[in-house]
Amino acid sequence: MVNSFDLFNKVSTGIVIINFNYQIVFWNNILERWTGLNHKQIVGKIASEEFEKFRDVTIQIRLESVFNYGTPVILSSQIHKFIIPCSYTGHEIRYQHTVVTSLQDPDIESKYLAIFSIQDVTDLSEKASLYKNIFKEVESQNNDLELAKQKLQNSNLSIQQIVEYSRDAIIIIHDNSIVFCNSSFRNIMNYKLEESYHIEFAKIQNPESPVAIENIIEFLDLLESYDTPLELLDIDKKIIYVEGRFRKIQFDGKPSILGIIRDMTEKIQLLELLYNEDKKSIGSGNLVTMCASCHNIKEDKKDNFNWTKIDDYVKKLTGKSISHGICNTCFEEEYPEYYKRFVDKHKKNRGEGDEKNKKS
Amino acid sequence: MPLNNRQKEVFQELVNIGVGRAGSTLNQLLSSHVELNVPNISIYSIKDYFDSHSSDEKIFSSVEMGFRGPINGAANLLFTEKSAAQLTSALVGEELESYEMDELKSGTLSEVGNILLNSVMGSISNIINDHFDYSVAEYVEGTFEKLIERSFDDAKILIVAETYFNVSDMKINGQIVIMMTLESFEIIEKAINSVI
Repeated sequence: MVNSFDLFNKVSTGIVIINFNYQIVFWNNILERWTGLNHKQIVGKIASEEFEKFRDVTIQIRLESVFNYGTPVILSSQIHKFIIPCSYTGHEIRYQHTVVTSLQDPDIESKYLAIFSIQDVTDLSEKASLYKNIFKEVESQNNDLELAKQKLQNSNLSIQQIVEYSRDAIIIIHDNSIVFCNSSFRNIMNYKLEESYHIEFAKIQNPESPVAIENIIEFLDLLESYDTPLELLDIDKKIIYVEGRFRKIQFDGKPSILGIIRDMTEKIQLLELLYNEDKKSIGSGNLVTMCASCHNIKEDKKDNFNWTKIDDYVKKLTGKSISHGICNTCFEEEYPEYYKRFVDKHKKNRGEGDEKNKKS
Repeated sequence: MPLNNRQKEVFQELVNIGVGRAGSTLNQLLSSHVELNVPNISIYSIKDYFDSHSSDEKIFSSVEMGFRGPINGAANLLFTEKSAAQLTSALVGEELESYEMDELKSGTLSEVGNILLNSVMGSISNIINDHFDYSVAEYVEGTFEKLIERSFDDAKILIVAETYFNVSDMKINGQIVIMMTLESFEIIEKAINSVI
């Protein structure tokens, strides 16, 4: 019988043939090599006594259809890992994909022999596992990148919002053109959004402005940042007085200039107004002008004027010298702790005096 | 050629018995609980099927198994590529991508198909009271039309059973497609009539 299966010694898969009684009737040389068991040692033995998988009831139920009807059965490596334990190249058990086909049993009527054709798929499993691990690693890195990208996008969005809604006007100049500006800049210059793209900076500068864009570029070659007053012309050619802070940046990968611009027009107009009002008052003689900051008094000197210290002004006017004290209100406001102690002490002194008077 | 309602009910019951037995085997084999059911069966002549279904380029993963004997034909278990990946992942408890449907993954589906198709065909062989010779289940991929063409040249009748695999809280849709000659179908019809 065994000789009739010799053909199975020529194939590259492990072949074991068992009969209805689980007796091993053939064991090919590939299985000899994989297991180290010679066919003389194993043929004739009962598979379920030799190998654990043949004691598995589920496998036995499925093999019944092979023995009784010759129905082929597949035992995959994913579900069963192996049928015949082999570890011929290392310590790990090899993965096996097994197909069980049948052959009429010449010795037992109406029964079939089960031919186990065993393919070693360990390398394939390991490759798949390695591939899967690589994929998981790449996927994990992709997820990290995606997360970082999302964070960056959120961060960019936040920065864009901060920039867009900043009270200061923010512009980015590249190659003398404004390539970006925020809403504050558009408001200052009375530009609509669509009018604000690629404006030539030189064209919005008042020709009489003390500093031109060329000067800013020159200074930025020497300095990290450059602060300067500027005069710009809005869309109606009205002069806008601004203070600008400029520095070099990379924008969209191009060397550019970031400008933070503060509109000083109202402040300057107010100062001009004060200056003119002051000029008017010089000739009137009814008003004494005091500096709101240092309290010096302005004195008319024909077409010119001086600012005189208030002490000197009073002495010149009244002949009296000035001495310095502190009024109760200022004392309380400026030095509240000392003021309290001072008041308490003053009250106490008055009280002790009354007591002494009573005794006497 | 369609069966009348009563015949169809009996045939559906046969398929359900087979599918139920396959479910029981899968539950013994796998750690995940598998529930199988076949809510609907349709029977077509091949010509009617392709006349009423437009050609679809969708690729299916299929386990096909030929049978010969008193009836001749082939049985296929078909999944869309996505369902095949989902089912394999659910059965072996590992996350797999569709590109990983290599030989190893096809091995799992081959075994599942082998169990299911053996059980269903076993039910049919029981009613005919004869048994068939089967080819080894084979994993193949292709469009529905190509898979039917390659499975069995002489197919005249197509029996399509929608099959649901409920596993790991997932409902995975597949199809059992049995194709056979007209003579084979008549044998089944006769066997069904004998038990009605």
